[in-house]
Amino acid sequence: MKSIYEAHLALKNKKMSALELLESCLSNRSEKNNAFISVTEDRAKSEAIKADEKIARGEWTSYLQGIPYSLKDLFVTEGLRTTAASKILYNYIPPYEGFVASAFKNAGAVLVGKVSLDEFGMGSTNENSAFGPVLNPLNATRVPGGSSGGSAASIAEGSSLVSMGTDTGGSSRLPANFCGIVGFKPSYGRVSRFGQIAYASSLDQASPMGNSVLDIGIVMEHLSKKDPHDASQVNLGQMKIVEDLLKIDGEYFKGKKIGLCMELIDGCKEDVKKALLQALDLMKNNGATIVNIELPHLKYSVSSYYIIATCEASANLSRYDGIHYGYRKSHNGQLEDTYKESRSLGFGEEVKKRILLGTYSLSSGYYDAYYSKACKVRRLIAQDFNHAFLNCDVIFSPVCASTAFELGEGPKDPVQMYMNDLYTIPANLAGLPALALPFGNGADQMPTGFQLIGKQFGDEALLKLGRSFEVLTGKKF
Amino acid sequence: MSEKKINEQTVKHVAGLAMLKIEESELGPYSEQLSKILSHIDELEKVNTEGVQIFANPMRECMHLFKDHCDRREDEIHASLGPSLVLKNAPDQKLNQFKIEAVIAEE
Repeated sequence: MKSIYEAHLALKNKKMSALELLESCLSNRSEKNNAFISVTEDRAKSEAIKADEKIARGEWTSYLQGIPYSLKDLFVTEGLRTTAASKILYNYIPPYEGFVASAFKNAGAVLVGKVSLDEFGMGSTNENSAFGPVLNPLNATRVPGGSSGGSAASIAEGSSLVSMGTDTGGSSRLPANFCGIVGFKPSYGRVSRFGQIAYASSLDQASPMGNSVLDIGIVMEHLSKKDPHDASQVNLGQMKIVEDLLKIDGEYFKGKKIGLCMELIDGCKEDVKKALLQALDLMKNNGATIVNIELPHLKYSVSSYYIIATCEASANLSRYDGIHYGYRKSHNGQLEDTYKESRSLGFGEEVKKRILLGTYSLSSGYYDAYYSKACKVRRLIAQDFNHAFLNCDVIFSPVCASTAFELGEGPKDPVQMYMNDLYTIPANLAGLPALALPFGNGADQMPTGFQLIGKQFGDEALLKLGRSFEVLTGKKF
Repeated sequence: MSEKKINEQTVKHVAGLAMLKIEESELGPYSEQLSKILSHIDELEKVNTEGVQIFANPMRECMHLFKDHCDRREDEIHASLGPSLVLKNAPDQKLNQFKIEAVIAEE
């Protein structure tokens, strides 16, 4: 049982119970993969039993009823430890429920546990977790990608059917790509960020990850509800897309214009490039037209992002001071020393590096040169997309130039590491929706795939195209 | 832009601003890593941004399209978290308050 929809049919037709489905997922969990920070077996069993009782009474509240899921440990869950994979929050028990956690709970889904991530969302390999690295279930010598590596791994190993990750610079799309699953970053402002531990507030977005675009659509119906707790969430009304997605076939590509910037593809390794070109051929053979576009400022995305994101992070992470919650290391009985000790011992190396970079970029004498400049370049990147979308419906792009990296073999050069995010960062800078789809395998038999980037608030149209593609590849549910 | 490399002195100064303690032995490696990153970021200098407005947040860019959809609410008072919930995660507490170190240094 791999998808929400497939499992839903099995539950509805009484082929299995929610409790049996949960037990099957729990038995798939591998300690070795280290996807989970907290496994919530008791709560999951109680939720599964409740779901079964409702099913027995013929009560169905949603497709998510009885479905095992996991939550990236950045989503605040009331009464249940939430760590952001950081020592500084190692014992933090939230006194309130965030929007995403609440949405799944109210839908009757079954929480398997809180999954690992790169600390505070900072990283692309899930090697930066204070709880140890996560392994790629498809090959234990490889990373699952990050920062939502735990989410991707929990789906790939079969311990959950769907997971909520987040995406600030590619953090759901890259692990989805490395683990052969679907990852969707909605348009910025489409989903409430209430209860989502902040990394970079103008870039962060909650991101459903699963085994099909249909499943993503199921989740997005719940996530697109207007939440009064987030004033930065636009009220476009709740998405109603599942019935449309069920009707979509390959015909949907007819007449669609796919924007392509060939130099992005040329930057990929040969085996990834082959899969990308095959995906494009499939779209062309089903009626789509490929339109050449230019994105002249895209090459500056990584630099712009690493200024903006680290500046915002330096502000967002200033709240972790050892005073109200989390790790405290008192020192010399002096308050300022306690702040410094707590933060320095509580945060990991990558987090400290990014805080330093952000603080420097915002400091007196450097604000204009770095932060303002990066924000102006951000506008140019967004304008490039606006211009491209005059001539196409959606933009085709790689997710990563290679398949999943080896564990521990990540480039020691920080710049090279950050360049891994080149293809995913632009959509976050411009606030656009982006959908990572699995397609094909590399020479090493690891998954390859691509992403489609849509117009701002064109999430439904993007999901429909993605669904059409998966139907073309023979995927029903 | 002026000299880009962040020397160890600057790392120490920035760490102070960020309320981080960096050990003497770590200053060199941080200086090197941050300098490498900033040297790469220097490429932004090449971009002509004359007359270009800052883009700080995607929502501010679409207010004109969606102003009817961006709701405001009345400023109504609702219950917030009570003291016991707020203090539940406190590393140290006394008399229903967070207990912290001295704010004013002793002479």
